[in-house]
Amino acid sequence: MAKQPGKAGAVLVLGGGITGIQAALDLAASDVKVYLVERSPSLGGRMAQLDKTFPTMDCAI
Amino acid sequence: MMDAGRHPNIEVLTNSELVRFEGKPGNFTATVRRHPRYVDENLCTGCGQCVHDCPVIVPNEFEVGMGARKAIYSPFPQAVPNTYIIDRENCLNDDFLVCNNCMNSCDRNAVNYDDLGAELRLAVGAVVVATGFDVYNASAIPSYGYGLYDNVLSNIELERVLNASGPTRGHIVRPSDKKVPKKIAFIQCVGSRGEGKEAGCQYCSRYCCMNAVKDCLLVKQHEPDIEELVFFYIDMRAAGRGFEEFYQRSLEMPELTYVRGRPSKILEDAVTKDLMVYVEDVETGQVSRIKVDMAVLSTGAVAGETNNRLAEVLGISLDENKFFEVDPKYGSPLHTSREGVYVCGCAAGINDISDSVSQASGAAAEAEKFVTKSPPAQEVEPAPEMDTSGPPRVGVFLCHCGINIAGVLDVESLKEYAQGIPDVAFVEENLFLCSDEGQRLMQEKIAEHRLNRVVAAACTPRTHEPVFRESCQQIGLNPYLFEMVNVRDQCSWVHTGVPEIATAKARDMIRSGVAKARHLQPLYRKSIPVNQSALVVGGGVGGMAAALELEAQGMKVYLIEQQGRLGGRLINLTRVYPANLSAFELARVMVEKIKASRVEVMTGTEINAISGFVGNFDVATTNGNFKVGTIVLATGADIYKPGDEFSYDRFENVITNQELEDILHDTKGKIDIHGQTPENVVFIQCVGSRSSDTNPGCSRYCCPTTIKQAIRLRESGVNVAVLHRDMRTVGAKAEEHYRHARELGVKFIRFTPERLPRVIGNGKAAERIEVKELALDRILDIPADYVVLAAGMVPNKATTDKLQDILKVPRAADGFFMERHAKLGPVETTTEGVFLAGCVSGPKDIADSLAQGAAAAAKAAAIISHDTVALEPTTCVVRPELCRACGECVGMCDYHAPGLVDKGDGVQVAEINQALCKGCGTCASWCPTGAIVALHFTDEQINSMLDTLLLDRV
Amino acid sequence: MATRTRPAKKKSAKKKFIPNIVVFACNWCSYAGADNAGVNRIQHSPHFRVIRTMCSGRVTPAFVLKALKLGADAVLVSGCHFGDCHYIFGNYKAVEQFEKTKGLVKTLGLDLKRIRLEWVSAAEGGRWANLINEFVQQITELGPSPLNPKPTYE
Repeated sequence: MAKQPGKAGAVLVLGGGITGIQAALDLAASDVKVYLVERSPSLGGRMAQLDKTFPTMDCAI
Repeated sequence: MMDAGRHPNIEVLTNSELVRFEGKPGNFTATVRRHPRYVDENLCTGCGQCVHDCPVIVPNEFEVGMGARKAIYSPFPQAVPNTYIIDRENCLNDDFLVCNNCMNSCDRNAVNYDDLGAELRLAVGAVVVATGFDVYNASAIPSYGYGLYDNVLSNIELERVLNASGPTRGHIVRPSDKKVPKKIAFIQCVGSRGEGKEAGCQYCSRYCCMNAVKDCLLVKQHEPDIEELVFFYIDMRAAGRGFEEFYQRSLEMPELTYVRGRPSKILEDAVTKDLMVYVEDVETGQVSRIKVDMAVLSTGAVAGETNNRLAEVLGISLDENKFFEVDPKYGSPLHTSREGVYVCGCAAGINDISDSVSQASGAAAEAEKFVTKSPPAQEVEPAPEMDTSGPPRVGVFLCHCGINIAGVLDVESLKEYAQGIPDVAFVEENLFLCSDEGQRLMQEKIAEHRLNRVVAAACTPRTHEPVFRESCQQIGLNPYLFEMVNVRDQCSWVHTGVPEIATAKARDMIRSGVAKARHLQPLYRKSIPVNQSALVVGGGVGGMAAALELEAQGMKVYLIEQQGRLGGRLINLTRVYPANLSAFELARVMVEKIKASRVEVMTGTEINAISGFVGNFDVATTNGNFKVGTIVLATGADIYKPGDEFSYDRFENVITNQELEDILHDTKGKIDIHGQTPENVVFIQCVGSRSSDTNPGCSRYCCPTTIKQAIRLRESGVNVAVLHRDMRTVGAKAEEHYRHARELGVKFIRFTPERLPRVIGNGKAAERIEVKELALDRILDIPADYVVLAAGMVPNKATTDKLQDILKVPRAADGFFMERHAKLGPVETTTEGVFLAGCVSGPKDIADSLAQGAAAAAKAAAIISHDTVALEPTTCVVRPELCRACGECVGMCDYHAPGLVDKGDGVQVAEINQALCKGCGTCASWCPTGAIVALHFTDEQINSMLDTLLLDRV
Repeated sequence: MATRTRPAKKKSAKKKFIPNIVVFACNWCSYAGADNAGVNRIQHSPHFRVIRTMCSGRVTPAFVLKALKLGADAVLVSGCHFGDCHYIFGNYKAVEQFEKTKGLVKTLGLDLKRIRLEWVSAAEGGRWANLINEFVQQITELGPSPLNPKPTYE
């Protein structure tokens, strides 16, 4: 894809939970530089606290 | 999570927050404040010695206070980054004492009490807000006694209790006496769907119903002796893919009793700490007291406490519930009030996991429009590959991992032992093999001793194999000649108390690792060219959204629609809730945009055949053939067509919600059906949904649609009754609309599937409906000029059958296409390069379909924005001389990688498409002649491990 | 081929038998589950040796038989829970393979208790530890495999 002059080369993603991580991974997969900013000391968010997810009962981490 | 921590394009800034934000879309400047961690991320190896030596013990917030942690800690075991952090509020060094224990215990000098943090100025083109939600604090409802009574837990606390690595190691015990409870109450809607002042939010928190059902099943699994689980609820909101089926399964659990009613209060017996739940069962009208050992409150989700500040910094607005406001004019849930700033997941209101994930991908697609993509920095040109064809010369590297390994295993004796293993040419030990010095040492020794196979006895290959492989590659050793032996996670950490036995085990592990290494073969990543264009199948909202997003990113897009026009079902709707947009306008704008774009639209076109694989699909249509690199399926669903249910086929005033929509579409002001204004209209819900005869799942769209139509009728003075099984108003603002409908005087009457309402007519038309009123146990007789059946969504059989046949994308039991993962891969399929958007993978509303369209576009763009796609070489290959073309492998592979090819003279042989093979190796175990080789996990390699483990035992 | 059953070797009166168990663990769930036990320091019996495969479906009956013929006292095949497989249906294939394995183990004249197929997810470190302890205990009670040429004693 052609370079578009005048546009920054990165996206800021606020929140390191499951949605923030997903957005960051999708952007990164398309060659976009991502700053993933999380307020707490680790990524993971709420989902990391869950034991399993329904209906497939996968582990949440 | 790991992937995000490791991706070269992602810079993770934890313990950080946005403090300033200015500029224009495409050119924002964001100032991020990184709060001090006091431990250097680059130096810390996560060994845990500092935690061991820290004298301060405080409650652990991750375990919602139920467990304990030190003042220097890692938030939870799988944390990313895996760097410790000092909680200075609790650290002794902040007080008059000087402790310094952690600093003294750190071999790597990673602890720095003087860390001041930093402020970073970042140039960004767009922002994605994904800050999630907070959990409602149940102590705000004093009548439930949360925080006062020991045995009242929140659902989040229960999740931690259920977790094997949680504070009770997965045992369910009640806090007051650590005994396994016999009877547990689950109380729904705590802080959600509130009526009173203290009751929290008015909306439905959406996640809690299914979460609680799941917890009931898990509780039973963990503690089989549980006698009774009592589940108090208002409506069972199982509105998502597979949710209803999951709920139905729970009904078969004998220990689980569902009680429809919101408990008024819980009282504790001060001596026994047992609980008494007071409730009125709305189905029987009975008021009862139910004694339980423990109660779990399903606490709702509320807006994040930092939303106010963040909204101010970002210059975007909040809605009345303090969630980030979505600009309604797009119909999609991704746009905030500021261009270039997008929102996804629970930051903008409550969504379940799969919708949040779709929205995240969708927001990524939106954000991509405002940035310049840069190809990832090319790695340093690797050294020319060294010749490894000679006899194996294995190097064994033993990592101490600080004291994690060496504190338990006798590394010296292991070193001596390894030197005696056949073909081992060199053995070395190192304090931290994964550190830069460790890696350099490994590289030097490989070169110095001409090692052609490398074994590292260290931690787990799941996290560190990529690191070591890269080091090998850098100096010209093929990375697949490296083997890892996990003597930390699976040995020293779990056999800590028996160092001698653990060391003996490590000897076996190293020996079998060397055995495998001797048989390793160099493998090479292949790359195949990608056709940089996309095919979108289906011209409804989902398809149009996907096509527009891809086009906005500069991609070549073909949009195929079977019908003669674009717009799909949207064009037939009147108004779109919740923002009351004109559906026609929304559709028209999208169609206009597509027409004005470079999207190649082919209406009245059908697909004949598709062959190929990711990056290289050949598409044959009734309108010509072309090649694409990726495919988005957005063919939607059908609305269920009732047969004789509720006399639909006999009475012409029994109509579907779709037919009512057509009438309302042409009606302004007063409702006029065939020249008459009806006085009484009755809706019947779940027609063709939640039934094993039609769609076993919930169709999700019908409850909010009924509410929308009921309000429209009621506002024109019509008497409206809605007969339902559960009102599932789960979309944005749907619960508020439901409340509004009740305030307007729409009557809601519940029925059960065992006792369906009866439509009674005069032979030509329906006149009234009989329905049993559950609470009063009497038959209600409701007059009806019109009966509206809320018809569910069903898969479009002809289209899905055909597409399944052409693309081999699997379908679930309900007939809709199956996502790669119900939660984490909602728009992906198991066929690489083929994505799903909208109702093709189950019922969705317009906002969700739009988000999925954008999400599928993001996934598709990730493939076709590159000109090649790299293939992992650890696949399966066929040795043609051993293949007898039995076709076993062809039938069993879910990725359709193996196929039979003609080798001339009528000789057939199996071949495995390397672009489709995922390398699971199952076909290799299936092949009756042993012709298939699972590379890197070959029979030879595994057999040699078995040989040495069992024959060379000492 | 040894289709006959031999009585287990006479146990030494004092010394306790230590089983020798081979475990095949799939990369995505069970191997990760074993790692999770480590991360959480959940201590369990050391009397097993793990061979990692990408999927439980990779484990052919031949691997299990070979292990038993070479004297393993028991074999555990461990994969992802249903619906959780990284390769969608690999664990279903593992079930099919395991059925075949059972038949062959029977013809070897071995107790079917010596082979097991189990599911452990990446988060189930506790379950992994319990499973290993329980299996080791069971095989200890069962005694050495009649095909084990040199059973280990304490």
